Amino acid sequence: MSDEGSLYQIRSLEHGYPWGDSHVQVLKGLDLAVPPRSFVCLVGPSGSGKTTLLNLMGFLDRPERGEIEFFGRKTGAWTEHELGRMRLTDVGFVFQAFYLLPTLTVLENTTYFLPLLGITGARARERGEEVLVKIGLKDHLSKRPGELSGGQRQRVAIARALAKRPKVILADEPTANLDRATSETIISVFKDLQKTENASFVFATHDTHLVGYADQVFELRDGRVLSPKGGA
Amino acid sequence: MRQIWFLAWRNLFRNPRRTLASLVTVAFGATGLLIFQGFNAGMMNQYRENTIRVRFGHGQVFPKGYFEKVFEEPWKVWIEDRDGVESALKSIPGIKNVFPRVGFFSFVIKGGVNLAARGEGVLPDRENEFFSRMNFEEGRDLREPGEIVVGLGLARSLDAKVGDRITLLGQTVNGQMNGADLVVAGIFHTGKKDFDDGFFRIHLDAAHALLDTSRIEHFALQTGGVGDWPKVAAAIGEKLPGLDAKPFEDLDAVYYKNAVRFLETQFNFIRTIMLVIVALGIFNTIAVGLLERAGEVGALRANGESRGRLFAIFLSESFLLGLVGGAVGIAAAVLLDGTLLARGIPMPPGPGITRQYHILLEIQPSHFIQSLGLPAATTVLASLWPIWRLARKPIPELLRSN
Repeated sequence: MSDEGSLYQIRSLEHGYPWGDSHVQVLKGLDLAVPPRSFVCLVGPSGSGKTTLLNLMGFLDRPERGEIEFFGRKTGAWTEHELGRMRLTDVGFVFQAFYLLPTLTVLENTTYFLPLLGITGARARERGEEVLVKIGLKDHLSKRPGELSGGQRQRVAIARALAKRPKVILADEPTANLDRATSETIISVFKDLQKTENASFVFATHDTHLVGYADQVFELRDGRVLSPKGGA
Repeated sequence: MRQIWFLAWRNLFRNPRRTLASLVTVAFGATGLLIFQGFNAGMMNQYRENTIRVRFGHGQVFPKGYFEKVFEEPWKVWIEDRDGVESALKSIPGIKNVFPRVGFFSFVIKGGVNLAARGEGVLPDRENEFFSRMNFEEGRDLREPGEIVVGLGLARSLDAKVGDRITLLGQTVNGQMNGADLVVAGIFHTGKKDFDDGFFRIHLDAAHALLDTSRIEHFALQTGGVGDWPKVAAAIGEKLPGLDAKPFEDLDAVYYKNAVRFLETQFNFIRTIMLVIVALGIFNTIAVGLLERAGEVGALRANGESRGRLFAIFLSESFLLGLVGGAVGIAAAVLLDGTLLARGIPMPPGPGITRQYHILLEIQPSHFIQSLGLPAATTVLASLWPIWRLARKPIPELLRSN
């Protein structure tokens, strides 16, 4: 049964990785529902399956078993091309290591994916600038990532994901490389965007400070969700 | 497409030291390729010009079948209507000059030394300007009917010097013995041992008197250039069906044709080795550079970048690297050609050659295209495997790489 109201409806999800001659089962029948416009944190010890779950939610990988519904659509039968298209249009990914292109300016990094969405020239520039203003980087448009602080780089990575206007932003340890003050700024950027852009956020994190701001927290242990907890 | 080239260009600057290392490798390859091609062309062209301007002209015209058969009395098939054939040849477009000649064997005698040698009767007034590569070590080229020029080896065997008298003793076309006393005007050293050791030239009138004939064995021809020969030969075949036209490379097949084939094969082999060295040199740099970008590639693909577009960006990057490296290499080669190599490369005597010579680089337009295109293509080929490996990795694996 599909839940039209859910951003994600995940049922009996199983996934693992080959490890030498054996197979390590990471997710063991995980169930999860994420409502739209939510601010969700996935927490748990290392190896509990946070990143694996995030990868599956971002269509970077296919689950071995189980079903992921995205806005009520079953994704199991989607082709590689369809998954790629979905990553481009509906999902934005932000990583702990930022992964910005060092030879491009802040604005060029932000607008990187827009030509793939058919947005080019002045329209792309306008959208990029709009996002960068929102995220507090309007004075750094022509700087290179190497000229920015860690927090500023993370904001560019968020802006790059956000410029696509995705339905959900998935972030793997987005504050892990940042100091407390910068981390605070980034979290407030996320919270603002949740309100202004109607975007959903799903984080895999160890950062208890970030968890404090979540609408919902899912604790993973041994490849399953222990229990959903209310957040801030 | 514009964004792909833009990103590829910008990516060249992401790690300047690594880009520089690749550029230097490609540039060295392009420089080596261009200099080697220029050297090879210089050697071929100078060898060709020597072959043409020492002895053969651009080609020669013989009585039909004369070149292939051995005649007991060859003068019987020699050309009788010298003026008629000469004017017919001169009327053919592309022929600039016609040189009537007779070739014969005779004894060459000086003092007590008596040697058999091959002689040629020529018209020095016509020939001296065009056949300018005889390289006279002593004296000068032929002028008068009473003179003889001899090869260096032959002169040494006879102990002949400029101004000495030499006697030729031969047989007329009627089978009688005949002789001629001639003064040595010059001693030539073409570098081809067999030619220098047993060859002499005398005036055509003196040769006719010695042989007691007015016939012509063959005509050497000067055309507008080597490229004119096929048209000229076809026109001769039409206009003078009783004659055969042979290009210089067929006349000197043993030396010129074989040497050209040998050098071309060697050149292709060395060129392949140079390109393989370039490929191996940059393969590792490209592979390491791409590997370091695995996480970045993973992040791009996680956000919707396609494998195909990434493949295109990286290939364009390699192509630009090859192109820029090629251009730098070409500039370096041109600079070297204008400075250090301006006087040519001194070469030791080759097989069958007895003198040293300098090879001047002759860089031609097609060499620029090759020296630009081949390193670029090699760089692209060398990067195909690491790019393909990176592009086909699953995204989670890419993200775990860094």
